[in-house]
Amino acid sequence: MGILLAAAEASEDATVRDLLLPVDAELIWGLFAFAVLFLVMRRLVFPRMNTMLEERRAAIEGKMEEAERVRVEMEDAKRRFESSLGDARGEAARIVDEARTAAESQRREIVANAEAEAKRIVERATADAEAERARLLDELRGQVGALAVDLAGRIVERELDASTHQGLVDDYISRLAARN
Amino acid sequence: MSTAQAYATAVRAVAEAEDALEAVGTELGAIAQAVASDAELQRALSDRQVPLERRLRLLDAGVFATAHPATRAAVAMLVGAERIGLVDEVATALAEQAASERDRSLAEVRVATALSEAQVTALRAALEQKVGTALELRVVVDPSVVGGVRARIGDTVIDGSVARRIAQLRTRIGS
Repeated sequence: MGILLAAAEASEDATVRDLLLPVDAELIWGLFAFAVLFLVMRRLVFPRMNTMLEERRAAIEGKMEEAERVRVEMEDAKRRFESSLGDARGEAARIVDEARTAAESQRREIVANAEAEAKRIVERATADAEAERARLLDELRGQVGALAVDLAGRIVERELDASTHQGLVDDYISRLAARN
Repeated sequence: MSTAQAYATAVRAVAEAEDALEAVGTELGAIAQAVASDAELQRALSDRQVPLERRLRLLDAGVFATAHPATRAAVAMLVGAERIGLVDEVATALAEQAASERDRSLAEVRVATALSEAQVTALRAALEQKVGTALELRVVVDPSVVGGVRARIGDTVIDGSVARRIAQLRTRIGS
């Protein structure tokens, strides 16, 4: 039994080894085929794969450069935007300042005009009052004068006697003669 | 020709026809003074409410009664034409025309009281010497002169009246 078992075990080891190890011819054909395949691949496939990989790498690098360029552009645009935003804020502040200055100037002008107008009104009123006073004084003076003259005329008319009349006529004649 | 001159021409024609130009001129001047100094008479002669016949009847009395018929006719013409207000201007125009016929200019002299003959003569001489032409004087007693003399020869007025001095005084005080 033991011998049989040992013989059986020995037979199993040989079968496993045969199963695991190819036969020599197969191994040679295999090596040959591998060499042929390697040569074919090296000749035809590997260059294409390298080209494809190179292209892919170039494409990736191009895209990375593009991305970098875009990023730079974006940063530039951001700077410009921030700059223009700063300008806009400055412009807005300037406009506000200008509006404030203009409003202040306008306020001062309105106040000055109002003061000037008030001054003019007061001056005109004063001048009118002065003119009215002068006119009334003139009128009064004229009326007093006219009354005085009328009174004087009446007194003269009443007081002129015949001899005075004659004297006035003689005086007229002598003056007329003297002027000739 | 003014209205007064036209009436004066008509009056002169009547007066010359009656050979009474000097008398008519003198009387018309006196009547003009009487009418000018008597507002009542002036109103009575010019009142259109009073019939003309009644107004003309006034010419038979007062200063008109002794006047030459030609003078009364002249006044009646002015009253009938409702022009009695022009009697003074007509008298002056008539005197100017009469003077012009005698190659003289008329000097209308207004005084407050009547002048003596000597004063009239001296005044004529002085005025003639002043204007350089022969003059006929028409002396009008005009109380508005107040005193002194106001002479008018054509467009020239030589005013030495008290009224002018009072007017000057009034102007000086009023200005």
